[in-house]
Amino acid sequence: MAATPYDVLIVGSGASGGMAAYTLARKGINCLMLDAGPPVDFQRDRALKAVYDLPYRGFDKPGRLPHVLQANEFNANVWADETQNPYTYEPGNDFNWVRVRLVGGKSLFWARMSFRLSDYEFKAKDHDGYGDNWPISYADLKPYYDQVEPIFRVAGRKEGWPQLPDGVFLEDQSPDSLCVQKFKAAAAKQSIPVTKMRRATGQGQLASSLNLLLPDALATGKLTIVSNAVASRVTTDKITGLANGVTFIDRHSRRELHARARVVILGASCLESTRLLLNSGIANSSGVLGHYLFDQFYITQTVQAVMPEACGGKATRAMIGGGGYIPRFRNLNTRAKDFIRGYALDFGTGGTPSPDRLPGYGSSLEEKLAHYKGAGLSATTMGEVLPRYDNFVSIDPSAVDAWGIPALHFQARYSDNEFNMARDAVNTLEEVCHDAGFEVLSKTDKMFPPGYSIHELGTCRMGDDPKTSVLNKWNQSHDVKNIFVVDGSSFVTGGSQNPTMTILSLSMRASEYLAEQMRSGSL
Amino acid sequence: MPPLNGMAGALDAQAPEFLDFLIGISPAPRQQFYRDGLELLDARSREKFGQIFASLSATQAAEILRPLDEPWTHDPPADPLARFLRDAHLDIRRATQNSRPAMASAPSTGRRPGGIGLYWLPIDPIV
Repeated sequence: MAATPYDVLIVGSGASGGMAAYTLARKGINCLMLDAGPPVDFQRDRALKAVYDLPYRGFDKPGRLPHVLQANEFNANVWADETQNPYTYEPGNDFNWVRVRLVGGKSLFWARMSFRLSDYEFKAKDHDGYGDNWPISYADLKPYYDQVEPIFRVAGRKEGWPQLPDGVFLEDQSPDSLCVQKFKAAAAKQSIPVTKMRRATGQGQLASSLNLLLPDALATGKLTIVSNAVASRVTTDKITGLANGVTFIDRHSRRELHARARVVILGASCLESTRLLLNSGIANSSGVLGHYLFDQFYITQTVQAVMPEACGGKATRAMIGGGGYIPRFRNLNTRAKDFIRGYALDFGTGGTPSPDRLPGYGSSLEEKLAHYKGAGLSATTMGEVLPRYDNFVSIDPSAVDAWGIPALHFQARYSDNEFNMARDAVNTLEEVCHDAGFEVLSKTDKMFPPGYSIHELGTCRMGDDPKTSVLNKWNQSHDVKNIFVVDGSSFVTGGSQNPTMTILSLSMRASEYLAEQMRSGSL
Repeated sequence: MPPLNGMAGALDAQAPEFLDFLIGISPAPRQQFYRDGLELLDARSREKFGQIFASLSATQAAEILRPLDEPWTHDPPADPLARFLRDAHLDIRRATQNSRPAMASAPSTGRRPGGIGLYWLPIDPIV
């Protein structure tokens, strides 16, 4: 393999790497894909089990995944093991770096919430003066969103809102329950928009690179996937300075190997791609590689409420059930008093409030839970985090992973803008619940630590100026022209929308550009 | 977690034994949290009723457990006993509900019973 000349070497097989392979292989370009993890088989690798048959009754082995709050004992084996893949952070400023090292990456397990960014994000600086604009606008990316959404079969309802552009949807015509109608009516009084969730339906509950992108790429005969290949650095030609391949380590044998290609695409996930470039000592003439790390802050169960009419065993499907999505509504045409940008809310109804947040114990608690059964409303806040230079990752010379590759050190914290935004979210949501006639049982404005959303973005941002950005508007390195970085690290701002559709669209756009450059002989 | 409506309680589920095992293999801070919490529980019981918690009547125990009736707040309570009770209560409840006796005694709904799920086996682990 090391001697085989490939046109393009792609690191990573998740959403971004998968889309690059899908786009390039179908244009006849010979691709090699490296992934750090093993292939996964949903039949072979899963088994139906009762929680009491698990070794730890669903608690999982204590201390095993301290930063993966999404983990439970059923799914613990799919997350990257932190002892093999360590990272460090400032004491007291945790970063929850949640990783999946399997062919298909995080696209195997994402929540499938599928949104477009708008020019409120692409041209954010024009709107409020903070930070930087992207070097592209919504119009540049729209044709790619239009192609990606049908591949992922995104369901949603068209609304015509400028802050959340409509897509090519499987139209969601499902009726709203009475509870959702009441919530929407109360929200409307405060000019808060509510729509159906926009979600990739994929095929068979799976909307992954593994089933929607890689099969088509493999069918061309132009894609070779090498699993268990842990990339350690991008190599360059000493004379031209151009990339000529990637050094990687076999996960099991720990043998070091090298693969050559004319072009290298990094789609290893936001921070792994940046780590690879930092460890390679390239593409950083700007000095901003690793900087402007941001994500979206999350507050799950921001508010827990119940619909009184549905309590006491009276909940019916017509009365309560289903949910919705509130896109950003702050700082569009008016200004919030103590923060810029905005947040989104995802709510669901028809559940039972969590006993963790109810007072009481024993029979009194069980009676409460029986009374509230099926009558609940709960919402998650997803807030924009401002990109800031002083939130960054760097290489920690004192820490290496199981393959001897230097690990990342994180320095990231939220600022008053995020804290003030979180307070506004909980207060607003509580007010809407009260107006709808619901009883609020608990509320919180406390954010999870940075990283929890698994939407880490930035650190390899794009821009027109090579002095302040790592990539140009085509996701191409300013410094090393035959390196493209197609994952979330290229983001300049992230808004409050889940980023996967944007990552996929950027990767498709960059890959089409690359294919044209290769065809014309420019690369 | 008493037996309620025919459902197994914490003792039927051997929740104390299970938690003893779980805490025993937990990181040191968690073990210390439990050790301190249990000592505090007995200390508070002795101070108020002259005997350890396990010897209290139901009414006396309810007095010591009163912090569990306070409304939930995101930040842990300032009182270390209240903090311990909140965590331990959730652990006991979960250890009970996720036990075989509790599942066996749960009323059937005609659907797939709760507590059954798709378990991911280790995928090509490094030996």
